[in-house]
Amino acid sequence: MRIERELMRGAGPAAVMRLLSGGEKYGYEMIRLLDRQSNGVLAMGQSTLYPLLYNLEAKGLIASREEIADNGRPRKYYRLTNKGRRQLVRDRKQWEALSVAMGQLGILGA
Amino acid sequence: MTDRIEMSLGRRLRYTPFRDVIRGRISGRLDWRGRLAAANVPAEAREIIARVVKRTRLRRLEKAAVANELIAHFLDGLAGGAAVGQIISTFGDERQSAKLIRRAMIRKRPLAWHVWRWSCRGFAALVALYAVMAIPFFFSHPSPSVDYLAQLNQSQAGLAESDRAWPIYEKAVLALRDQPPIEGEETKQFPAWLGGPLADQDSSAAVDWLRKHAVDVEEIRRGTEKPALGFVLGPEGSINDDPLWPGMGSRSKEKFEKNPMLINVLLPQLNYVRVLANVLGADARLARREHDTGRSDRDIHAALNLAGQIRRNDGLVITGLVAIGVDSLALDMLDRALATDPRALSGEELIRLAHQLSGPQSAADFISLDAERMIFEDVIQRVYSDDGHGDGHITARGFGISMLLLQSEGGATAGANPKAVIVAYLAGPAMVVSSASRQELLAKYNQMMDAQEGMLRVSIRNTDTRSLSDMKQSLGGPVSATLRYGILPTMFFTFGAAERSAERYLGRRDGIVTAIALELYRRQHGDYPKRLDELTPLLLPAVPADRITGDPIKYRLVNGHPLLYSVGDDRQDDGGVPPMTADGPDYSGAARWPLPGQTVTRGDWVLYPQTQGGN
Repeated sequence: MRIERELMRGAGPAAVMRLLSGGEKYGYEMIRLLDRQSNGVLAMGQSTLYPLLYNLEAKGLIASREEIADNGRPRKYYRLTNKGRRQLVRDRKQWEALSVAMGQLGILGA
Repeated sequence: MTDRIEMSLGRRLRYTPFRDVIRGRISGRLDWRGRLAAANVPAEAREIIARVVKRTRLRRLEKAAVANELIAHFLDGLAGGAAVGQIISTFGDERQSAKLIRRAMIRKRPLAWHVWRWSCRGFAALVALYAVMAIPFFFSHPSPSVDYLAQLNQSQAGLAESDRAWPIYEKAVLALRDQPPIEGEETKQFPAWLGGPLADQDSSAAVDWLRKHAVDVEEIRRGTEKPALGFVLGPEGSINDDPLWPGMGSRSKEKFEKNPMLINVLLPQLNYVRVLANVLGADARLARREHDTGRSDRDIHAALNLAGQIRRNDGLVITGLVAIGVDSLALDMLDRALATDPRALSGEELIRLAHQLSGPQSAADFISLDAERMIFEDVIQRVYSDDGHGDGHITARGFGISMLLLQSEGGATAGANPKAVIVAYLAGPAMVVSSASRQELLAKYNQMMDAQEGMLRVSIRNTDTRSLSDMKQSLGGPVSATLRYGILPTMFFTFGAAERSAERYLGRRDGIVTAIALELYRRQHGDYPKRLDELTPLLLPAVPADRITGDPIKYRLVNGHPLLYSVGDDRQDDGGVPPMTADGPDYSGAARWPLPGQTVTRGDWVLYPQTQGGN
């Protein structure tokens, strides 16, 4: 199931930051993990992921570094900053509150 | 599989950021196209990456970073076993991707860049605003539609030639002058004693001159019998008189064509009418010495008539002031006649003079502000645009006129400084927004003029001149006043000096009319009354009020002769003794209306007689 853009706009950053909370990752790796771990619900293409990453970087929530990978090609790795970590905690609480509210309304858990 | 690019040094140098060059690294990292071409990605993926990177319209370094990331993404996908078609199908919309990437990358730029960007946007907005304001400022023009000069001339231009005094005066001036005309110094064409101390008028040279010109003086008297002066103002008017003012008419036309404003109208006739009044005064003095009372009387009447002709000619305040001066000269003549030989004037003549003098009651009877309003309205119609409903905004052409007016004020304002003029022109379009509209400016001007006219209708002692000063000050400081009201602070004159001149004349006139009543009383009763109220109501409707205090004027007999006076601005009765100066008594020296806290003059304002020892 594809998530509508407006919903994805809210969920995408939190999902990416949650992924990065487990350690630094590169772009294709994140796309693959998001697809797998969300059963395709939060799957996103390059056109969505990279702008999202650049935005999070602009806000100082994630940071990047370039490194030559094992195969000899340059690759960009992203990691969560301390600021991003705090933001993730806040996002998590908000999603939980939202989830409870949606459950009470009968939208979730029906 | 390798992505290494083999590049010439020149190409590497070309695609190396300057910051790398100065660090001694020829990195060639800006060459994203070269890197993409060398990358081991399928052609369709390469095309997608190229299109997306190109569409981002980012800086070269940013494009290179995006390209590197997308290349790495495809290569990672392919290395992970995904088919190229699968990666492409999940790529998403290219245009949307480029747009979002561009937006995100720009957001990542340094703060200084964002500050610069917003500064540029702000500047661009200002330029756009300037352009919007500049259009009405530079491309709309004033459209003067009212011929105020014609309105000002209305009463004189339509006169029959036989009703105009000016042609007679012109001939008299040409006959009286001893020297060729000197522009601006008309009085120098006549004997110096005419404008000198009174005693000089008794010299043999003066007596000979007056006798020689007896016919011309008679012509002046004949001219004063005409109902109007008949001097037509403007470059097409009476100024076109080469014998009197050589070349002035053509110069005036030239100046008027360049700037055809009412404010540029020349008034050279005022110098000549002053000379004519002085001739009448000198002739009256000679007539008295020759015991020719009839001629002396006619000279006094002629001077009063001349003052009336001048006053009615155009209604300008400057003209009104000259008329007051001629009126005052007539009072001097009458003062002298009453004080030195009162019997020379018949009772009938005295009554006629008293009635003639008694008309005006306030400064408003001498000073009209209608012509001044016309001058202002004329300037406004040449400075502002006209929307057809009486409103409009300032224009570039009009702004130039405003600056000229500000400069002519004498350097006290920003307009006098050439640099300020340039700055003001640059800021000119902003004046469309910051300056008052045509309607607002006229309303403000009329409000102030109405207040001033109201003050002229009552005696100075009953007005608070500070309110007018406050009103003028309310136009703001020099900068805000110039921005908001432009020419208004420059063109709004307070006519306090003219009002004081009129009040001095009226005070003096009250003294002369009372002196006439005293003389008539003396003729009826053989002696002067003990108090002035004995004159009322038969010989005087009421005892005149002191123009400074409002109390009845003071009266005493000195050596059997009446003395009438005001207590002056110190409000102390000094027995009718005027302030003394190095040149002798200053009879009107105490005729002042100082504001609270200002210094006062010691001594009284002598209303009658101001004649001593036959002078």
